[in-house]
Amino acid sequence: MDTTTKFAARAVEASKIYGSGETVVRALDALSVDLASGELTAIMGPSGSGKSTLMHCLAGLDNLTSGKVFIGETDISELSERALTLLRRDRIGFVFQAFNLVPTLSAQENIVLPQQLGATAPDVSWFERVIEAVALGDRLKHRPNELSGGQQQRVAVARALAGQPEIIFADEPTGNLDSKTGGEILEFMQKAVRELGQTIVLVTHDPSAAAHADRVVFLVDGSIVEELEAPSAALILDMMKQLGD
Amino acid sequence: MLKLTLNSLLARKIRLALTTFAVVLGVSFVSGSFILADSLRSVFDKIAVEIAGPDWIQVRGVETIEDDAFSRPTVPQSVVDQIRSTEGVYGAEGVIQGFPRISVGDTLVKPLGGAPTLAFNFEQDAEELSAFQTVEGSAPGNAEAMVDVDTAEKYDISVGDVITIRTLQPAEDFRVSGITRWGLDNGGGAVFVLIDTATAQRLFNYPDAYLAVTVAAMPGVDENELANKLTRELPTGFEAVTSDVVASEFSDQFDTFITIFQNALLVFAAVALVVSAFIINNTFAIVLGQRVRELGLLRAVGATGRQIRSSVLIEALLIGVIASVIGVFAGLGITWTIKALIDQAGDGSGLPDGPLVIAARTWIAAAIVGIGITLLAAISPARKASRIPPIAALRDDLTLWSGGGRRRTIVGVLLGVGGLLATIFGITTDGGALRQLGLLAAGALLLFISISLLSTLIARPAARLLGWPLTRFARASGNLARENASRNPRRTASTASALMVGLALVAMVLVVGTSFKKTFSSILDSSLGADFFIDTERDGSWGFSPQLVEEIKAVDGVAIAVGFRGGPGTAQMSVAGASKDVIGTQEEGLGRVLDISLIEGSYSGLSNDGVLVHKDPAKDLSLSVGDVVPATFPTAGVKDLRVVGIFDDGSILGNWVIDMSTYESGFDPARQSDLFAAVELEDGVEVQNIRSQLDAIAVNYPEAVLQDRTEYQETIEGRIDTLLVTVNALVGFAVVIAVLGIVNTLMLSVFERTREIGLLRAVGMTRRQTRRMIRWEAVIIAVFGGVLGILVGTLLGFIAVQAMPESFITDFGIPVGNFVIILVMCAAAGVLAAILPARRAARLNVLDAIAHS
Repeated sequence: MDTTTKFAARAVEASKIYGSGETVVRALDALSVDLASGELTAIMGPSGSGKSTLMHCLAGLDNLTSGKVFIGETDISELSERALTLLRRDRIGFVFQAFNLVPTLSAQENIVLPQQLGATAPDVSWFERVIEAVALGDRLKHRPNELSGGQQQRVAVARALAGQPEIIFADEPTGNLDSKTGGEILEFMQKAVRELGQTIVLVTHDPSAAAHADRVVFLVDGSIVEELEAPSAALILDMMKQLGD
Repeated sequence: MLKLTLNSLLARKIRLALTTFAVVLGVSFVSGSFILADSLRSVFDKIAVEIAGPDWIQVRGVETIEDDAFSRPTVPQSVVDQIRSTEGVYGAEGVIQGFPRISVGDTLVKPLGGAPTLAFNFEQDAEELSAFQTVEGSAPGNAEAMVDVDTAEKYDISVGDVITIRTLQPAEDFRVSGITRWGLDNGGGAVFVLIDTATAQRLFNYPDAYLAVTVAAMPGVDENELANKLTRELPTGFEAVTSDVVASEFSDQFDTFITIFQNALLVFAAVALVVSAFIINNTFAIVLGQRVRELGLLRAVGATGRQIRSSVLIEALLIGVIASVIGVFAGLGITWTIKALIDQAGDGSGLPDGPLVIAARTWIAAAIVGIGITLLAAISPARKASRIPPIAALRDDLTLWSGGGRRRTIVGVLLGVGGLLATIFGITTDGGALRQLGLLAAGALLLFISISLLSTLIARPAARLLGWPLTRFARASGNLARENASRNPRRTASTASALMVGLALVAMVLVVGTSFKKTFSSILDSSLGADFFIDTERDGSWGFSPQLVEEIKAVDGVAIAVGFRGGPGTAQMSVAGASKDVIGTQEEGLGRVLDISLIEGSYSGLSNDGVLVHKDPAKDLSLSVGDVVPATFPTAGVKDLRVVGIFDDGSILGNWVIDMSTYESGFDPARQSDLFAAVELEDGVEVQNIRSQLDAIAVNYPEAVLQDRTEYQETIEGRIDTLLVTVNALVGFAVVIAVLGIVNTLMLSVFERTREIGLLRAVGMTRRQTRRMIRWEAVIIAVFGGVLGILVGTLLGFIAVQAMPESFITDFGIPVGNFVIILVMCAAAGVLAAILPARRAARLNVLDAIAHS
């Protein structure tokens, strides 16, 4: 890996506060985190820890109350709604837990959807590499309702990759899948990071999913409390128990 | 269950509002029609009573031809004298009424709307027995006239000014001797002028006679008894009737017109309601489709299918009730607005003043219609909802739209065939107007339902086809729009069908109108050989003086000039017990300026009490050339007419043609005005050269309009166009409702697709692209509706044209230009309809949308 590791995304003193006075809720509490390029980072924490909120704010889907978020060198807290939309289209990839695909479009059309929206021509060789990696060959023309859950998620990942984004955010991507299929998706994400040089940020509550990551960041009550380098699932489980007390 | 129903209603307020609105529009049209008609009736009933006068008796001639008011003989002076000398009579005054044309200087006095210009006789000492009251000045003497107070104000006429009165006699000047008022409020728009009796008799051709006589009874004498006495004592052929008889006769006449007017409006209201029904059906289906899981849950916890169905129907009932109530008031509002607009437009009242009447019948009709339509429309979705299985609570993929594709097709085809048959039958049957209309309406309705069912089959390919150009230039939004429009063919078809109904009627009317114009054009080319035509403007019940034709004949270069008298709407003659419209003209014109396709016999001999008969009545009465057919005329009694010829083309002069001399002797002198004239120039004479001479003559007859061939064609086409515009404007109302239906569907569909739109926005669809996506979807649906409407409308128009008698239409024409305009306007309507839903879709908060379930 590059010694001058760039940060694909950064949060600096990021706070997201709901309500005021006695009923104030700090979803993010002056949180700072750097997400390095070329890594698979997992963000973990119990429910209510703020992990989803962090991801939403990093991805430009939600606004901070205070603090900054950078995608590459861009301070996205300054961007207009439209600029954020274009940011999401061109520089960020998404995989959600469910309902990732537009039901009326074929798998192939779903994969190139962001490029279609941007009216840019997809890079054909890159596209073919992605398709090959995701092993969907003969299912490309099918509609989502003709694909299995695992296949649908693979299409979603392919779409996230297709635009050669700077960073991909995945929110519980294996939550709806059985362990075997889920495992395949996670292995594929690893492959994308190692062989295709992608940066993926994974939000999950599942230790065995987080075990695929190069780095795991633990959140409790809107702050980062711990970080582990390439931990095993057992280690992660332990940490979760500790933090739960 | 009831509480749940109410809760669910209130939870979706927008949907409630939109559905209710569609019904309100339809109901308001119904209630508006009734309110307008009832209000007019009450006003005209008052007028009728005023016309009849308080307790006066009217003496008049008895109709010689049944039900033909024109056939009453005039009342001679001798009868008036006899009445005056009858015991119990306080006074009697002869009444003369005519239709003059009044000018002040160069300005022609025009009454408002369709109101007439009327002249009456008026004597100073007869004021007691007149409906007119002197406001200023005095009764007219020789060469003097009184003018009604509203006209005097409008045209700035004062006592001492000069006005010109024209009748069948040449124009004469009169000095204004006074201002008068008719009844209480001067009769809403009509123009009145009063002249002395002698002048009236001269101008309107009542030589020593009167139209009728107003008789007042001595105080204490019972009117009915006096009337009966007079009827007994007067010579045969005259009767005396009391004022309530006269009033009810007038009422009946007015009522006939008002009822026709009301029924025409109701027809349009029915169209609006049909469209509303389509929309309600669609809305319920979509919304219930969204609630499948919720309803499945209800079923899972123990609600029966029947309870679910009742719940839906109760919802529909509530909406119907609310909409009916609002609809009545909306109808009131519309009528009030129309009245206000008319009052504004004409300075002075266009419609007679009166309160707006909401009869009990209006409420009942609104309730039946509003509730009935809503319930009917909700039946099928309610039934489907009742069949939702409890398992639907757990599964994500159960929809309301599934299944029954083949059954729909079969039902659709059956209804379509039924509808076509009913329509054809309705046009060709002669079981009376009501039956015809009923069959036509039923047929059209069945056709519409059938097309809306069958259009599901073509909705997907049609949407793909219509959306194809969008994928070219709108790229992503266009592609998504196209996919959205094709993903649910039933919903697309259902929404488009509401638009189809209105547009089909518009298209049908346009087709019929275009065919009409085409037919006229060929008639003009083939049968009308004249160089000039003279006809009248429509704002009067009589034509122009025969003097005009006489003067034109005298112009150097004119070969033939003939006038035409009579025709529909004028006095009739009676043949074999039936009243017939008849036209009088001159023999020399036939075959030259006008060709009615003689089959047998010839035109000559017409002037010898001859008659030309169309082949249809000739066949019915077994007439051939040379036969004598007795005909009864109002003034001449029975005349023996000899058939000189039988002709084929009845579209120009109707079925019976007699000579001018026969017409003059057979009908009232007061009715001897020409309604139409044709002029042919001598060979080699140029039209332009003669034109100025003819214009110079025609200028003295302002009610006559001189036109060359091109101008005449334009005039007739203009009249057809005006009619088309009116009909289409009213149907356009239904189109508006349909567009609201598109808004409705889109709003619901946006709601349904919240998660999907959230996803699209997350991966980078901008707000603008989102709006475009919705917009193009609306355009596709709207244009689809337009195409369907045009196709169905052309079919209906074709049937109508084929079924119409040959005397009306022979050629078939398709208004291609108009159709293109319709499609463009559909696209525009789609854009308009999309504004609100597009805004909604674009404003969705992305995070909330993704998390939506």
